[in-house]
Amino acid sequence: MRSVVFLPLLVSMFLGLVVVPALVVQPAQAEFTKGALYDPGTLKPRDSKLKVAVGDPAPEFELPSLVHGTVRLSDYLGKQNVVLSFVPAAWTPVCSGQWPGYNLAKRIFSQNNTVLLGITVDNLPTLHAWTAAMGDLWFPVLSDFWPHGEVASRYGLLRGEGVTERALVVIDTKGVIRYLDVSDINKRPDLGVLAKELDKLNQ
Amino acid sequence: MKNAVCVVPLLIVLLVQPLLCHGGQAFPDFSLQGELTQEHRQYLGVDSPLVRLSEVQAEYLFIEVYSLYCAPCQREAPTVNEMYETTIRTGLGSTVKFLGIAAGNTPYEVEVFREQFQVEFPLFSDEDYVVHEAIGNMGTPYFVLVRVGGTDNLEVLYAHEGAPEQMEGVYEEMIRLAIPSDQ
Repeated sequence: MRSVVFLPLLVSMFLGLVVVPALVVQPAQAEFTKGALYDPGTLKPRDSKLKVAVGDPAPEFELPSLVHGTVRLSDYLGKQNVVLSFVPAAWTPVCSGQWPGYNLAKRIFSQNNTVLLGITVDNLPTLHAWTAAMGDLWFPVLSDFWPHGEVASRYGLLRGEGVTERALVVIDTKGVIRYLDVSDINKRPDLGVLAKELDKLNQ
Repeated sequence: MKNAVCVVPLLIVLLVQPLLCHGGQAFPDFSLQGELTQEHRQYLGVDSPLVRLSEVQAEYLFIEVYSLYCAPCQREAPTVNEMYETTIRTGLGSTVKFLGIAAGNTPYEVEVFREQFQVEFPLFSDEDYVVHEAIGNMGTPYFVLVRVGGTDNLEVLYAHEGAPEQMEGVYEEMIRLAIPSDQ
């Protein structure tokens, strides 16, 4: 008799102590959880002087990429527009969001015959681990690690502490720079502004 | 008697535990700006694109704070859509209403996300992170179920930071909390 009374109680305890917590207190997935990223705090918004301007021919470069082999800017000459997305560093908060956003917005690039090249001064193993946590990226990720930040420096985008600015460079099929945006390093640029600039390439 | 000694503390744990999980805290009664279609306004029961949470015609709100720039949010989007569709299909659409708040996203970015995932429920831009900061800069996605009690009276029944291992669990928990078993 006593066991009959306590059975519902035991069941409810099981539900309450085992089942409900299993549903409610789930650990967040490993990817970019709090603690996975290094927060450098608020940095000086800009710390470099541009060496290129809109209307200039974009300086040529050749960099190793994660899965697309060696990438040269001239590979796209006469074929596709190019957006260079320089981001300061792997495993930091703002950068870790920017590329997943571009990954989702592939259509904005492809409908304007544009390829996106992501560039940081991190080495390939670091970029591998970092971008793997973002999922599959459709665009090449380039390492400007050695000689350190040389390409960023050629564009005037290398900061004093050795990372790049958060910058976007839009280059048309003739290899001419059509849009340059050096953001406040602490903030992500609005995708809407870039989308408008890409639309202009076809006008 | 011996059993009672064991059971009483366990019962206390059992009763207190939902409070530990869900807090029961107040959720700020924000006014949100969104690009709302006629269907969205109808769904929320509001007239203007500026929507105060407590004005939404619902007993409960299921709010997802997310970002276009958050890979886990992108991954969970189809499942959240399914949850929304299930509430509509099962007749809970007027009891629990869904809305998304896009932390740090411009209206353009909100539309990119909506279009990409064909999100049917209303999405609002929190471009300057006002909501995000007010709720404690929680990691995204952040899921909250609130009970709408009136102006400045929104009670958090359930909250989950980050992508749950099983969204089904979140849905079941939402239904359990929003729809008491005696109904």
